[in-house]
Amino acid sequence: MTLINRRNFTKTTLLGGGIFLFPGCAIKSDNPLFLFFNDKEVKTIVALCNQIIPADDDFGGATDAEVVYYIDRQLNSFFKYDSSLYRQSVLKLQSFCLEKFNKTFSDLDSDKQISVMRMMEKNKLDKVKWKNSSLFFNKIRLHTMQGFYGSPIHGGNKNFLSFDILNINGLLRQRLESPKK
Amino acid sequence: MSFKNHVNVVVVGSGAGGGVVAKELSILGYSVVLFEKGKWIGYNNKSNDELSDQRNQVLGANFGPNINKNPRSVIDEHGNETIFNSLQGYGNIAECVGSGTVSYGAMAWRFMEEDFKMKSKYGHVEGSTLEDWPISYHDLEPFYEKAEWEIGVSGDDSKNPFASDRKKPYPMPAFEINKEGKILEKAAKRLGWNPFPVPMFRNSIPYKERTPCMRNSICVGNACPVGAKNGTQNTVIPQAIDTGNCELRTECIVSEIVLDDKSKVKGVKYFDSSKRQFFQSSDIVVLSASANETARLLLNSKSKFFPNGVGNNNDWVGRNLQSHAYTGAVGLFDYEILDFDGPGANIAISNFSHNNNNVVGGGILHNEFNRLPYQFSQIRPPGADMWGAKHKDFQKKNFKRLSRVNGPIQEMPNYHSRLKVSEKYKDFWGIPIIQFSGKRHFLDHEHCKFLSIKAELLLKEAGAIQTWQKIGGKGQGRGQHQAGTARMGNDKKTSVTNKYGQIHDVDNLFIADGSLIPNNAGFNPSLTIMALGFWVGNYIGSNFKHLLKHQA
Repeated sequence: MTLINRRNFTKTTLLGGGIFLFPGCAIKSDNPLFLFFNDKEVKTIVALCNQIIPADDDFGGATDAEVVYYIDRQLNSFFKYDSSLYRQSVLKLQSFCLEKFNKTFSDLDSDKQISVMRMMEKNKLDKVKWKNSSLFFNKIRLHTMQGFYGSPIHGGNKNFLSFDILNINGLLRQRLESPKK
Repeated sequence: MSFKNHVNVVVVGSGAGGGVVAKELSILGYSVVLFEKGKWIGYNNKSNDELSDQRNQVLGANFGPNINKNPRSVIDEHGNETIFNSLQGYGNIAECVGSGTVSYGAMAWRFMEEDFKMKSKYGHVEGSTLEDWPISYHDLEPFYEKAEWEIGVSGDDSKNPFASDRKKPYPMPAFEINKEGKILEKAAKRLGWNPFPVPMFRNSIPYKERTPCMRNSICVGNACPVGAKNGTQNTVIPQAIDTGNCELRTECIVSEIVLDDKSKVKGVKYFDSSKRQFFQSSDIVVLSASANETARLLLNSKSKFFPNGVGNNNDWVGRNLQSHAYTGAVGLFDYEILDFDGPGANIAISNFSHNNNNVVGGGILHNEFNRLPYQFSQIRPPGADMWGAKHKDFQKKNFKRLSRVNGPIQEMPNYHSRLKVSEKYKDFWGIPIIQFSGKRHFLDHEHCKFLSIKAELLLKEAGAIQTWQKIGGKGQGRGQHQAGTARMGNDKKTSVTNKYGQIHDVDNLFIADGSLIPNNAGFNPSLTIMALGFWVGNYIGSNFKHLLKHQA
């Protein structure tokens, strides 16, 4: 994974600690680069995010913007109330994919991933074992958009990638690039 | 200066209404304590982050409140009380010195003559508590003028034939119309409508030693970097403090209005930033904490004379809660229609505010403030992909090609859209929280449909290659523009205050905020709330002069 390097490790840890709003009772990640996600979860989340905003011929996608760091950080703070939804949903998605394809979600080819996600979006993945897959899908869809199009101060939108994609320039660019915490 | 023991006036809340009252009374020599729950928050503290600006609030609200300390609840369709786990229960409402006037879009509308006489004009509306105001537009006109000149408004309504009479022009010329505005302006004229510039609490030219607007395009939901957007925090509140008669107490939350055994207010109980409780004695109390929090404070203040909360012996406090259902349409163009010349919204049409067939009232229409990247990612034509490669392509191609025309519909007030205080839940300070219940009148959605059709027509005429409507008006109106929860009226049985904002049967307790507004018109209400602040302030200032003599 290209996501992880020393610089990001430092950045994530420092900023993450700084905005730790809800003390106590967090289930900590087994990966020192993440505050909430464990290794297996990271793979799944990165794969989902990358289908929500894929790279194209001209510009990178969610992985390049490091959206997973945004989501990880918020699940440990502002979106804490969604953290168990994420944890359970990733498990459900994994067991669905293993049962149906004998592969994990992140190992599926891109078309398969998209068709699984379309079913999640329409809440038709596995109505018996997963009644509300669309609830989780809509959360991660929005969170990915936020991490990609929002300000880099929250962990995503690395190097202002999305501002380049939207060709934002002039005063607007100047303003969006100078946020304060 | 610090008034530890007794003051003439306590003002609760430093937003559009409270800031004005504090200034009006302190310049006359009344000693005033102005309580504000929030802090001073300006551009240097918080800015330019779309995810925490006051309009999006994905990661909290830069201008307050803190959701963990200030929960609100709602009664769901099954009758259960649930706590909001986000700032949903606030709907953009701020908590800081100046409150919403720091981060607002800053449209400075006057209501129209008709808005003050809705029942006379349209008759009784089934299921609605629609009423005439106890005052007319002409009563309030001099105070609108005061608000425009003292706070500072740019505008020109000479091209709006529907504007109610004014004695004095706006103090500053209107903003130059941006690229999108010019295209919509021409289209509106072709349709036979009367486009005109949106009046703004922004300096189009230097005003009162403050700089003109830099055309920053992301100032809705944020503070202005150069102080060219005018609110109470950079006008009347500093003036009040400068008199030496007004002490602003920030991070203080008033928990209760204290009455004697009869119906005279003695002062207020409040918590300071360290959660220590104090009593502030005063001759007069003015509530300007917003339609939500003012009603909550009244309901949380029980006394021998008012066992169900001050002013609530006829069960009208907290009822008729309104805000504004926004409605309109979106148009996609095959060229870049946006130049991102701030603040974005600048051309309006008032042709549909009143006198429409089969519509009670109506609403203004205007081009919308600039949309930032995340917000834009959620705007798509019906049926379009909301993720994936196509979604990203749309984002890439159309960020500057999309125009949105919308406006606030005049909501029909109803008795069952209300707030109470929760019997179950308390906030950080142990004060019972707001519990919302009820929903909008069914006509609101119908009226929204009407206005959305007009908005779509305009975008089509302007040359949009694809248009779609965004129709509002369902759910409960309780967010920004909140109004109506302690309406003014002549009949004690069906209102909470008299026409001067004085609580019925309590001579020394007043309200000066959106709570007073019987019906919220089809316009953003901040200028009207400021005008009501001047109106109520003027009444108190003229009628309690004996307090000044007593002091001297």
